[in-house]
Amino acid sequence: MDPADHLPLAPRDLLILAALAEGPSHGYGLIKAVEIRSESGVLLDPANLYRVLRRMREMGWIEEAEGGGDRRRVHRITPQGRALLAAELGRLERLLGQARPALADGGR
Amino acid sequence: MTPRRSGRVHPLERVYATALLLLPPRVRREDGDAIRETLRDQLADAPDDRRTALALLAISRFPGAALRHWKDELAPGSGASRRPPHRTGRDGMDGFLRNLAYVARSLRRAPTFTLATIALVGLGAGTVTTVYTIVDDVLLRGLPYPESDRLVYLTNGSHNGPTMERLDEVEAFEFWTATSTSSVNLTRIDGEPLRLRRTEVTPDFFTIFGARPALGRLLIEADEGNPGIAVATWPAWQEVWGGREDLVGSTVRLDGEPVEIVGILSREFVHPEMVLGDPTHLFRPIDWDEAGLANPGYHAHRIVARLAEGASIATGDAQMDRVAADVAAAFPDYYTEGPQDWPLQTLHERTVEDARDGLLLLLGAVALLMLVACTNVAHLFMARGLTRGREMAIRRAIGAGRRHILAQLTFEALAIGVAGGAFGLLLAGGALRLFSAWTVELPRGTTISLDFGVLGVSILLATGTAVLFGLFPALRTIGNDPQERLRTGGAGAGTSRALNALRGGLVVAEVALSLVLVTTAGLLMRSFAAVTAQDPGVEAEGVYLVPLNLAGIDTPDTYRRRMEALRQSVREIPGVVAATYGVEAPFEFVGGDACCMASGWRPEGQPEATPIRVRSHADGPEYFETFRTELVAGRHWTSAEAGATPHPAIISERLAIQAFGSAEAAVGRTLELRGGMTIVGVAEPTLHYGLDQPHDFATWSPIEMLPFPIGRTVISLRTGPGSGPIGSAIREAIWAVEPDLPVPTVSTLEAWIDRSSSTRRLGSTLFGAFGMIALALAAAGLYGTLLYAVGERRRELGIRLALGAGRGRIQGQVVRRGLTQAGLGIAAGLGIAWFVGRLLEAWLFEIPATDPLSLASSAALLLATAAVAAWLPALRAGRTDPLETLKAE
Repeated sequence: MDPADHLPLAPRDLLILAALAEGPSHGYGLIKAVEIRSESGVLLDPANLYRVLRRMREMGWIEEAEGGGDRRRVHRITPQGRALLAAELGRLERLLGQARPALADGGR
Repeated sequence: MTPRRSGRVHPLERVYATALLLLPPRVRREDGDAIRETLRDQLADAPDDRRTALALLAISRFPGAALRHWKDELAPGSGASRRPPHRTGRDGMDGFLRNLAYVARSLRRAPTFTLATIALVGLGAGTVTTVYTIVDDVLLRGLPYPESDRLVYLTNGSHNGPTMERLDEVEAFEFWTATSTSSVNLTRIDGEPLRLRRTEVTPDFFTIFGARPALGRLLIEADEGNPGIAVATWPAWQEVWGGREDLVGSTVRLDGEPVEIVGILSREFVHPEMVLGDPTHLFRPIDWDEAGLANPGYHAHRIVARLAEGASIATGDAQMDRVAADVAAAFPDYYTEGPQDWPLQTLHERTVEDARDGLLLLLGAVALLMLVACTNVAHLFMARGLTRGREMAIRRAIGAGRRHILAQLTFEALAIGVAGGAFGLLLAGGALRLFSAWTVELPRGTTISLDFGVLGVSILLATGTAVLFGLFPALRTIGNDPQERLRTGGAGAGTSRALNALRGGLVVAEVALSLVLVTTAGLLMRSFAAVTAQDPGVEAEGVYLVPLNLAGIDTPDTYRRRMEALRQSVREIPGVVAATYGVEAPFEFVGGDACCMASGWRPEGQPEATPIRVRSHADGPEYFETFRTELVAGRHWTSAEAGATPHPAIISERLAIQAFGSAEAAVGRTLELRGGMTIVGVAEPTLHYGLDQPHDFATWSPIEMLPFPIGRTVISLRTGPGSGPIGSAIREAIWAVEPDLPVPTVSTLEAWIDRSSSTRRLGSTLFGAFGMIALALAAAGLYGTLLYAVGERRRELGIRLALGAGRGRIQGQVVRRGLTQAGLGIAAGLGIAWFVGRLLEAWLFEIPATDPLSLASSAALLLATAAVAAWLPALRAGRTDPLETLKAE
């Protein structure tokens, strides 16, 4: 699969992948992580979260992992997901690199 | 990060969990639990004041999420093989998404329609769910006790000593228990004495009701006869003793006596209200009174038994009959009329009997209301479908597939159904919470929780109606040539003969259903009015009642002495013109199976006759002056006669006529009851136990006839005209004699009489409200139909007006059409109401189920409403401007 097929990522997908890149998490952990990263800009609800997770599982970006102590289900990122995240971040950085000078010069 | 778990489930989490049923089955199976857990984590971790907002956010986003889940599920080749996002296509995913967006847009464009249908679905589903949940909980669910289907209650009041001595012989009983509840005064160091309820029980009580101790122990056989110990209930432990750890093993003072608390019942123990009445605070071992056990007149205990395995009510009855026959044979002087009959009744039956009819009636009413609401939803969807003929034609013309249009209409209906369902859920949740806070009227009200099955069914019903009637017009028009539709302006003359007939039919159905509800409301209101118009045989105005509980009464004499002192004290309050006392007072106990001294009486020389249940009252001086019950014959007893045997008695007129043919004939005769009574007078008919009860077979005798010591009492007093509030004066007068006696309430007789018909008031209010809602819905349906019909015929009307037809004539036509539909509905409704009235009969008081006045007035009410609802569209038809309409062509 060529990661480029799936770019750009929706901000919500990006944030979820980024959160999972730091380590496996259960559903509420992801909601919390996304909320903190986006400084409350993105608020997930459980039903939508699990739809996104299901889709990402089917795409092979993430997979289920054995939970910690309790029975709660935990997801972790796959190498494929990591590659996708890297591709998206690279794309965004390139984009920023191209766009920023405009503001640096004429914005003041 | 592990959020802390709180033990209680947020109610909205339940709502959310139910909503998960709407997810595609595969998703629900695989992710349902995880989704719910995630919400729970989220709520557990949130600060208290944010929880509800968070839950509401999740709920509000759920419908969208559910639809997207379904979309994923139904997409051809879902998952990794999905088409890339930007490809467009006529079918599949993007068609679906566009459809969704379209539905959202088109619903937003018609806010009135959207809100109205959501409200209707929500109201209908919400009320049906609320009422069904209550009915189901109260009537159908088993009692929360082990082997609860084998628990039986011995009816016909309390049981006498000799019978209880023989209950062990009844082989059909695996266990039995005798209970008796009375009030005790708890002495507290820091405050006024507190009145508690204490129940004495035999130890098998705890086995029968499955009670377990939370702390300490329960009562055992060896405790019998020991009044110095007690077990506290969990609520009493919490409320009276603040959950004090060291309560078990400590000693409290009850009625001045030391009592050791040996245990606390577990929190799960459900108070058997159907046997014990109001919650009791303490249980103590029974203390059999040997003299009482030997005395057939000793009636103090209620009996509950668990049938042995394989034993039936019938075998139990047969064995009880043998016991009763033995007892009657042993006390021939007491049982002059033969053995007393004590039929068994299942405890479940006893629990629900009073509430059942009313609840079923209510359920029927909300079901009707739900039907009316569905009919209106159908109306609204059809009307909308019809007015969108042109829009649909355009969409068809620009290439939208039939399937698309139908899918879109279906989605619209589903969206309304889901939103309405959510609204209904909120309504039902709120209503049930209110109901739980207000459980005085119903048994077992406190354990109610929402019935999601019914909610689902009612939402499905409403949504199904919406889909059906939303699609119907589309199906009719969709086959037509779109260009034809566009040319004719979307509402050609051919649209709709069948559709109009269908809409007319809906109006007829609505009117009919409303008529049934309105008639029922009318019958119940007339009954309530008839009940309140009853003459209770007492003059309530100015009468105050003070229920008291005396501690340490051991003989009838102590009772009389102390009560007389109290009576004298309140009698001296300025403004009091008469005062009396008795074990109970008029309207204190309500219903047929209520309180106190009752015995069976048969006319002399007719041993085969069914015994009449006669209630005997023993009252202090001035009873008849206090309550102003008039004598129709004879006189009052003199104070010299009061202590004589046989006791003097005043009997009720009904008893006098039954026993002696007339009031006059009764005076001077002897009534063979309770050892014989000399009749000195006959009183006017009284309704001691409720305005809707039959006139009493009653006797009143001086308090000197009271055969047993008893602590419960009511002081009744009459104030003269113009006396102000007197409550505090009464308390002071009582405390002047008995400083430590708690005086919990001072009531007026008017309030007690009022309370005795509160269930009827509730019934007629509820039905009145339902009837009004149904009426409004029917009017709206009729109005909408006619308005639509007028709009549809604008062109025709314009032409006719242009050709010189009179406006009045056109208006008349519209009104006539409306009234014809209403008339058909009324005719059908009268038929149904006639039938429903027969089911109502048990509930009606002195009003026949086919009461012509009720039927006629509700028919008139509906007809008048229909006339108004038809008149408005008619005015509009008359205002049609011929020029305008023709120009529009």
